[in-house]
Amino acid sequence: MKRYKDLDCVLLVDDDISTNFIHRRIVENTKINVDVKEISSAKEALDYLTYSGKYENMEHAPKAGIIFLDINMPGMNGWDFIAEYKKLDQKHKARIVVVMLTTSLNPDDEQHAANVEEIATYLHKPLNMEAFAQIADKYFEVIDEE
Amino acid sequence: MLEVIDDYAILFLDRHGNVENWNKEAEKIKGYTAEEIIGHNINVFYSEESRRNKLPELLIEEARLRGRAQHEGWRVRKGGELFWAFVTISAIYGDQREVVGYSKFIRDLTAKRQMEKTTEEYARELEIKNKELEQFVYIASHDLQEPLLTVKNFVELFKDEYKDVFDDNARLYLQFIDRSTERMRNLIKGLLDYARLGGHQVKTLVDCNLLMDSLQNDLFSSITAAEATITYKDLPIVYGFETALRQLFQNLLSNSLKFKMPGVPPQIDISVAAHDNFWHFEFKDNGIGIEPCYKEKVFVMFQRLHNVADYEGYGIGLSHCKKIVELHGGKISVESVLNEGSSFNFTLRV
Repeated sequence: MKRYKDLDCVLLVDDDISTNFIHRRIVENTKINVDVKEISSAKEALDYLTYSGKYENMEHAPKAGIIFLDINMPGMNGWDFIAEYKKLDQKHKARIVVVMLTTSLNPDDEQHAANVEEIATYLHKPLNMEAFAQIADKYFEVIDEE
Repeated sequence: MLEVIDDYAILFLDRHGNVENWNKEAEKIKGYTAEEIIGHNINVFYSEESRRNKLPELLIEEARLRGRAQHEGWRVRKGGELFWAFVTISAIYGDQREVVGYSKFIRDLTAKRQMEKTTEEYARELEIKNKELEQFVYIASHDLQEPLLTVKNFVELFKDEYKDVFDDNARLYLQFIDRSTERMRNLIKGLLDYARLGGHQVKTLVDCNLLMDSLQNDLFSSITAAEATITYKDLPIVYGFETALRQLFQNLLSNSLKFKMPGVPPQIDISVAAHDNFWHFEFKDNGIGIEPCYKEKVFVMFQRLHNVADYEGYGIGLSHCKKIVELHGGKISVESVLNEGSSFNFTLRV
């Protein structure tokens, strides 16, 4: 199992539980040692990052390294999340890589994502093992190859 | 006097169709000065083809015989540029009732013709777009449903024929497939219903009191289960599509029952006021309410505010409501305070 510095946890943010289920499998099948946290709304993801709401006093929980973010979610969608994420205190988003993950075929969405500094990259669903390994390699430093 | 009549070129011709008199507007429309044109035959204003067809002579002949000739068509300005003209040639009579010459009124309608053409093109494009939409509905109803049905059928077969071989994991996967196909079937149905709203229906007089009475009957079990109180009286009789209006009322009622505050019996009050030729309806509830930033979004197809786990749904009901209200020439909007209730307001033409 490979380990990366600061990549302790992957946050899967999608309202569709079957999508989160599949993505968990994909991340787990990649030979990378990392926790997976499934979250079903953008609001809850913000709570996770800021230790509020149901994550109050959860400072010991693994810190997110990568956030895979769905665009089309009920209520607060992916774009709304990004708007709120921008306002977060630096200590909550340090070393986090946000990946927009979507079924959208709308080229405007991709263009929009390219213009947002907080979004590292934009991928079409479903996530695959190779794409996940590449993102880990690109943004994180390997500390253990075993 | 001739000089001050705008937009009309006015000229006088002799018996043979030669120009005798020429106003300022004629100079503007045709491009020739009076000196240049007086004494020339009117056939210089016609295209080669019109001249070959003897159009100038025929018009003069008609004016001579009938007293007047009118024609709309292309004419030629000095320099060869074409313009679309509306021409009236009238005979002028002498003392013996003999034709001594003609007056000719010419209007440049090039701009108007172009506008008509643009409107025509626009109408044609709209027609094509509508056809495409109809086609789309057909694709959604048939071509999308069919593969979906195949998936559903084979999942059933798996469940029947392999139920002893499957472990918990496999059953979980089948459940995911099942739920997704069911969801997709409903989304497609919602899309189809949306496209068909109001189509092939006739407007009738609809008594909203009777409509509400029968809806209360239909929704009896959910109203009782929620312990809801619904008040309304003196609702108007409106002119509209009955099935669609029924759906509008039902969707709003069902929403109020569904998005109720936990532990609080729903109170739904329906009231109406008439002004400015519209009935202004208000559906007010004491439910969970809507955050102000989602006031517009709730009316958009497939847009939802809650996770499926919290509130089942497809994000279809209010988009249907919006289309129904708009079919009746009205508008719909929502005012709401989070955790206190929502008030859906819509108008229907009196």
